[in-house]
Amino acid sequence: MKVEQFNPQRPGDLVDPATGWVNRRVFVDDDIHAMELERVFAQSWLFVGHESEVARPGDYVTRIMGDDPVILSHSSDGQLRVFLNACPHRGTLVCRADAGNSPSFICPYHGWTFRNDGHLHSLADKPEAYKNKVNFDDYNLVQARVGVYAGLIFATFNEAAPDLETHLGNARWYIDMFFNRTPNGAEVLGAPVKWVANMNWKYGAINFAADGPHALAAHGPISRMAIDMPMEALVEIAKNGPAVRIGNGHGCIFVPGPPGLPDWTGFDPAMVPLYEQMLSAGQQGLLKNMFNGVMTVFPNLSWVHFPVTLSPKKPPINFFNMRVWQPSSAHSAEIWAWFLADKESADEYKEASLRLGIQTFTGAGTFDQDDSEAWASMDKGSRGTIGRQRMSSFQMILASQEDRIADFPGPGEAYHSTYSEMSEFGLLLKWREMMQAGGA
Amino acid sequence: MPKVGGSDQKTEVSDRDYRRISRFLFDEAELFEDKDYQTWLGRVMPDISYRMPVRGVFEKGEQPKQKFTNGYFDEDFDSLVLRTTLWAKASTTVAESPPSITRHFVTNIRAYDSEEAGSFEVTSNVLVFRIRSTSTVHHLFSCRRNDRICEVDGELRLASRLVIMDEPVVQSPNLSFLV
Repeated sequence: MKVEQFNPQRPGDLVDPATGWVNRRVFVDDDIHAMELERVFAQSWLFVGHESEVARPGDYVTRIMGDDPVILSHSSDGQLRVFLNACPHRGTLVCRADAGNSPSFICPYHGWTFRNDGHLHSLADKPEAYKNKVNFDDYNLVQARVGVYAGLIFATFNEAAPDLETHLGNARWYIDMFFNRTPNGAEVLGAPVKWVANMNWKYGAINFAADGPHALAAHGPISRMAIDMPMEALVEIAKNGPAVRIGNGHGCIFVPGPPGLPDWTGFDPAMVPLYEQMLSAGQQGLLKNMFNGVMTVFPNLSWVHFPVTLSPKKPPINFFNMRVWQPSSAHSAEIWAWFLADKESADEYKEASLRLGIQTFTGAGTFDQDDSEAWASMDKGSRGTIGRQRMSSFQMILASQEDRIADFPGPGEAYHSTYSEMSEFGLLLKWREMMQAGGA
Repeated sequence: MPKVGGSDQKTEVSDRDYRRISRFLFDEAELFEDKDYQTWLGRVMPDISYRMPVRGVFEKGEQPKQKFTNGYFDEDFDSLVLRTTLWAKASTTVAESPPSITRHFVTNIRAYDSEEAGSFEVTSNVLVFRIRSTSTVHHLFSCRRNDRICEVDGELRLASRLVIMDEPVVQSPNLSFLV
């Protein structure tokens, strides 16, 4: 099947909700990429950082929203603010470091200086030199709207977007299971690692929304070694894990532990009473038997959490990897990846968790290194003149959409299998809606 | 890290040891190029630490001090065995099947006697030229290595390696090789 013609103003038509076919232009076309920066990224709430990255007043980190550089600032007055990293005078970056602590940002071109709350502090000449002909209220750093949920900081420049709580909706119930399961919540373990995948950002986002079967094809050998389970058993638990179409394009999967696996395997035992204090019975039930939890918050924030060991001498420990898929071009995505842990956990547990995370889920990670070559292969195979006319298949939805789990404890639509393609296709349905409408 | 020109208190190794250490690093580079990790693992200490921490761009050049350090590698002997075992067979790796083509250029070697007897502190620069199966356009990785190399029964062994990857954003989809 192929699409001969489509209305370039309605690229959402390239995703067919009825059949599960997606024209590959969606993943490789430069014009569509330019359009999604406007219709998806400039309209949506985007993740910019975690509260623990900017814990002290004056702390800042520089980030990317879509293709715009921004500064996430913990202003001296205690407020979290997000600014376009561009001097109102001529558009120069006013901050060129990844992170730091500073009362102000200084433009390198004319020395205009801005307080860390975004207000213009001084300019090249005295304000009087403008002879009262200029309104300096227009010369503060451009501020985005900021919303925080469970320590996750989001921002948008879209004044018309519904508030963050509405955007997250049912995803909050699942976010709480990872970021809000102890009284103090999560913290990042160090700065993000960054690398460039040769693929469209959506391949990553839908892979984490999430794709069950790739885990055993691309990661079969490392899974068997790091998880110490026969392949048949791994396939069995993956097929039996629920996939949740949460709504608003958010999606997740839960791969349950195999029969006989003790509850809370890989978790810090000291944290379990805190989980029991903070989480509902339904959340606890999913989490204590969770072998693998993977989720994407639309459009491009994802995480993965599961217990591994790379040594026969050591028991498995959970790592918790969070990442953003930056839409760098139609064919490349910078991946920014953090590791997190519950704040209350002991440093020894955090160190062990971080180390296993580094060994598995970074650009050199024993899992990620295989994904990235598979994703680069998808880009290569799909971008040609003939190739881009073909369809990518999410047709497992045809066999799965009636297969709802009636008594699933969480909100959204839960389907029986991580092989169902239901939750990952949900992200493309939201993308379709935003691309058609020209905005949120 | 030693000062430029070794101007601090460290003692440079003898010419003989410098030749031995250089040969050890050049041999290692060839083992990496040939993907002969089995032989390489025979030349490292069982308590090896192999790390490549995250890099960034900061006002004073240095990362503000943080309690935890993220990175690309934080390996012990067991995890190095597991990684290299995966790369050894086409059926157990996607990243290295077909294997990437790498050439390791090792330069700027400085070697000092360590405070620990029979042990050397060695720094070197490495440039890795790499071609992956999905990209025949090469990518270059520039790195600094801080090594501790020790002598066991007359043979040199790698005891620890800290790799400073110079790119803050690694412009390549994966790092399925050793430096």
